[in-house]
Amino acid sequence: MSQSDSLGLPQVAACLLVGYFVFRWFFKSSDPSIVSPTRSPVVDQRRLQEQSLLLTGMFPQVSMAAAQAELIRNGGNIEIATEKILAAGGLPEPPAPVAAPLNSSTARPAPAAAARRTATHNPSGASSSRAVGYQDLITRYNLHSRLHEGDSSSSSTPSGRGKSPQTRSDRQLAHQNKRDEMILAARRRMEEMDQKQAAAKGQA
Amino acid sequence: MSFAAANKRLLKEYKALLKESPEGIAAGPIDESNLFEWECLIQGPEETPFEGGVFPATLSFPKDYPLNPPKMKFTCEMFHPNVYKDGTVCISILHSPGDDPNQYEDASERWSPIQSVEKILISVMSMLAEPNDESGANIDASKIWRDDRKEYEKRVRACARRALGLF
Repeated sequence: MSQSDSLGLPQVAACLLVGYFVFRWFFKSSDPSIVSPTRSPVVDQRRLQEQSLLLTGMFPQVSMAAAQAELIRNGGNIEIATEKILAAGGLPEPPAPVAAPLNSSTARPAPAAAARRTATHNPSGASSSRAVGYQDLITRYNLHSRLHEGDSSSSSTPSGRGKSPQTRSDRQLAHQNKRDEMILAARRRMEEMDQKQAAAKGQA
Repeated sequence: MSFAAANKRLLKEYKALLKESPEGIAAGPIDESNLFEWECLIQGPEETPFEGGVFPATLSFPKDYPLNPPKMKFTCEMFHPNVYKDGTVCISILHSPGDDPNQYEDASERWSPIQSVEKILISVMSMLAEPNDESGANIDASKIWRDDRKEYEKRVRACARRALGLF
């Protein structure tokens, strides 16, 4: 009996499977260098991502970009980065061009979401003057037009309390209504308070 | 497996919150196609400098929710001893039972699967009213809160007004 006779289907299948995984592993490990040939091969993108997540988890005051920049600088040494943060109380922000391609989209969901919303609800792009700071709620949810329509509108919109919307869009609508009403009510209250204060000042 | 469980649980909490939520709280997914990213609003508690304000935040849930807690981040300017300058909220209910960064929290105060979005938001609301001096996240705010309460209240009120588009 030679060996080839005993080579049955399971063995062949196993060989193919192992071969496939070796092939995949090869491709995967060489992939990042193909995508970014300019970056130093020592720093693996995924590792970098994980390490910077770990760092920002430990030190929320450190931004993702700053953590990544520091890790690239010191060759991916998390201990050095940690010591540096502990000693200095933070990390310097990297210059913008370094940060931009490294910044993962998942790291900062909030501004991205806010930007997406203004892009859809506010196509004219009316307010980009305060791009650095936070957008106020009226601008963010495009409520300027509803500011002066009075309290009567709130009774016509469903309160969302007591009944449960069944479909996805109903739920979205109910949530948005509740959110917008809350913001508008607060804003009206605040403006009323301002007026009362102004009136009191005028009398005095 | 846990991903599906997380999805189910988040949808359940979302529906429950829509049906009936405590006064001063609104929360839901930014877009229901992704149940792991929520936006929420918290009304400033009465008889505090936050009163009258409405403060927006995002909740980012881990794929293994509710085993692990979400991360909460205010998306408006905040001046509070337990909120980092980037808006991240530091409160015991958002710390998983395993990690105790400050070594002072009671296990019962920390996250467990029986907690919920509603409980988080209520806890954050009471945190706004009563800052926890032991876990300073914003050192400036802690210091001013301790030493100069008038100035602290002034700064908080300014944040509340700015969030509502009043300057």
